[in-house]
Amino acid sequence: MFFDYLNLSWHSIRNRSLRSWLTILGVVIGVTAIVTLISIGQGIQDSILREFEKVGYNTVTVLPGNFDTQRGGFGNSSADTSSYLDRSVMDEVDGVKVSAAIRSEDLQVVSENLEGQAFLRVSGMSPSVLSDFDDYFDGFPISDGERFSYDGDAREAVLGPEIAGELGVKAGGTIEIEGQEFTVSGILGAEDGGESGQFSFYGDLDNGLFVPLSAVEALYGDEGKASLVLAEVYEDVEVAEVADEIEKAYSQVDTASTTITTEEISNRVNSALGTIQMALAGIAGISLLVGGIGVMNTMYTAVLERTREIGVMKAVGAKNGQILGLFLTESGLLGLVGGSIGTAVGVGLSLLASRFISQALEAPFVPSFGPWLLIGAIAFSFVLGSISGVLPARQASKLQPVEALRYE
Amino acid sequence: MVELQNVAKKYTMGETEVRALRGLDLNITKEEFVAIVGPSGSGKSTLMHIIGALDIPDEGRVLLDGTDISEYDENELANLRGNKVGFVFQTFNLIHTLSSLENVALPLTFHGISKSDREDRAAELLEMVGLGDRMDHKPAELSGGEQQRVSIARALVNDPDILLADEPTGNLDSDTGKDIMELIEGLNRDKGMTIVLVTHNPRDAEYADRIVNMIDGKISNGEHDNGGGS
Ligand SMILES: Nc1ncnc2c1ncn2[C@@H]1O[C@H](COP(=O)(O)OP(=O)(O)OP(=O)(O)O)[C@@H](O)[C@H]1O
Ligand SMILES: [Mg+2]
Repeated sequence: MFFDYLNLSWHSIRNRSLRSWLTILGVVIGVTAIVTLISIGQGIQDSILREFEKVGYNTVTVLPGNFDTQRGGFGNSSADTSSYLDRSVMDEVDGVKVSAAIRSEDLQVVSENLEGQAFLRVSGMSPSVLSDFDDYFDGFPISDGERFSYDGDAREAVLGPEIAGELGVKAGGTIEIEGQEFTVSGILGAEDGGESGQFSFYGDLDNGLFVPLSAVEALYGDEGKASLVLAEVYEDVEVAEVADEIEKAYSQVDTASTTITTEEISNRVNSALGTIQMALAGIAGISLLVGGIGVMNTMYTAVLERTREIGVMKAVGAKNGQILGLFLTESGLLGLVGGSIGTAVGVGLSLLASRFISQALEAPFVPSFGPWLLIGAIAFSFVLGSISGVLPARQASKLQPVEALRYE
Repeated sequence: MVELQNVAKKYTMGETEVRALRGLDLNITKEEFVAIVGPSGSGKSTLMHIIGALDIPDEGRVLLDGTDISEYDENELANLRGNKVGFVFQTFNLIHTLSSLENVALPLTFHGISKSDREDRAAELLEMVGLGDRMDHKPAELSGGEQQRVSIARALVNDPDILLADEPTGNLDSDTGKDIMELIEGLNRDKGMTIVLVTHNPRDAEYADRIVNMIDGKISNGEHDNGGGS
């Protein structure tokens, strides 16, 4: 029966082809807007979440003092550098599998090819930073040279490509930090020669200057101070609980600390992006509403135009419910066709837009088309069309057969 | 098979009230061919609609095969129309977006009969009315006489007990009208179909077994037996 309705509806839609297409266009615009906005928004959310997943949800970042987590990369943070954390406190916290320390200091840097001197943020990394947490630095990819050897007291440095350019050094060259000579063991960057990942947890890798932790400690002549501690917790424990334990452990040694878990950040990002997406979808929803009103208008006209036809159908035995079903199918079909075209156009449009977004973000970006989005958009359009047709269809079904047959 | 007892029907249009039927009695027996004649506005079409369960009277009783249908609800009336009645209209009333075959098959759609069964049955009837080679034509591609044949095929597709034809030749030239009348008469003669025909054309009325004269919403004394056949 439903297919018979579909067939009859299809006939009458085709018969009023221009008007039908204009009505469908109204739905197409709304659905296109929704599919485009959601797939791009979801794509952005997915690519950010992928970064979180790389780092892993069982990593806890610990910062000294009270840190404002809204600022982005922790390495570039303006957190109070005069206070430090003692990494060894971590050894006493249950649930921590491995931990690593980073000590960042603003130090005087000189190189042969640089006139004068510069004060740069130098980050000392404990060996476990690279062995257990290199995802925190987007894999710490080296394009030229190699990572630190951590061989004895060797003074080695790994530079971001930008800062290496400014200092005019390559792998194998030397720079001076606080009067001490350091060998540049490697330059960061993707292996294929492209730029390093733009998004790392640490922040901007292009301008990073990394040395072994022991080298920084040697410059200061003290040990056990960290400006950032990373901890990986065991798989089977609650990350948030361990984070609390860590804060407690630090407060017992009279150090203020702030812990940040991956989950916490990803939740925050998700809810921020979610809100933006909802707002955009709401705006697109308004255009879909207008499309629905268009369907309603067309269906009212159709009922008027086809009053006689309705009379004939009733005369040959059509029940009210069947006339209702017929008109609902027709309006649903308008929605369905509009929704299908709109979904296809939306997919095309967001693929097109993703090129520009990739360029703007300087990072590869793919819009996300979950099956639920595509199927949902099409199903929703059908429902929208049907709902828009309810009032006209009711009017059609309630027509008196004799009156309808007399209608000119 | 159809019995009308003291049937009255009025229409109100704003201030004015039109009494289309004013206490009418009529009996139509099985396999009978009745012609209804009378001046314009005398209530012939209104009477047809009531016989065909397309409308219900304000007063009186309508018995179809002994059951009173004047209290039926809309769905029951629709069922009745779908199963027992076939309508043929002056203006054909075909659906112009559908082919002949689809027009004829339409009533069966509302009975939930499968597409292939519907089309077999519709094709059979189009063959019967002599339009076997016009099945895929749209109404606009057919002559008036052909359109009326399609509408007769449609009226017969659900195998009704009674065929109601309201001025079926009214829009046709006299030769074509004659063909249509012969088709209708053949249904009565060969298949025993009960037929009620409304006409303004005395020649058409000649085909009927009985002629009923209507004036002012009533059957006048002029009702007489036609002696059957042409
Ligand atoms: N739906 C309606 N609303 C108002 N008046 C109506 C309606 N239907 C019929 N009438 C009136 O009822 C009267 C009978 O109409 P009906 O159509 O039955 O006449 P008829 O005998 O079939 O006429 P004709 O030969 O012109 O077809 C007419 O005066 C008509 O104007
Ligand atoms: Mg009439």
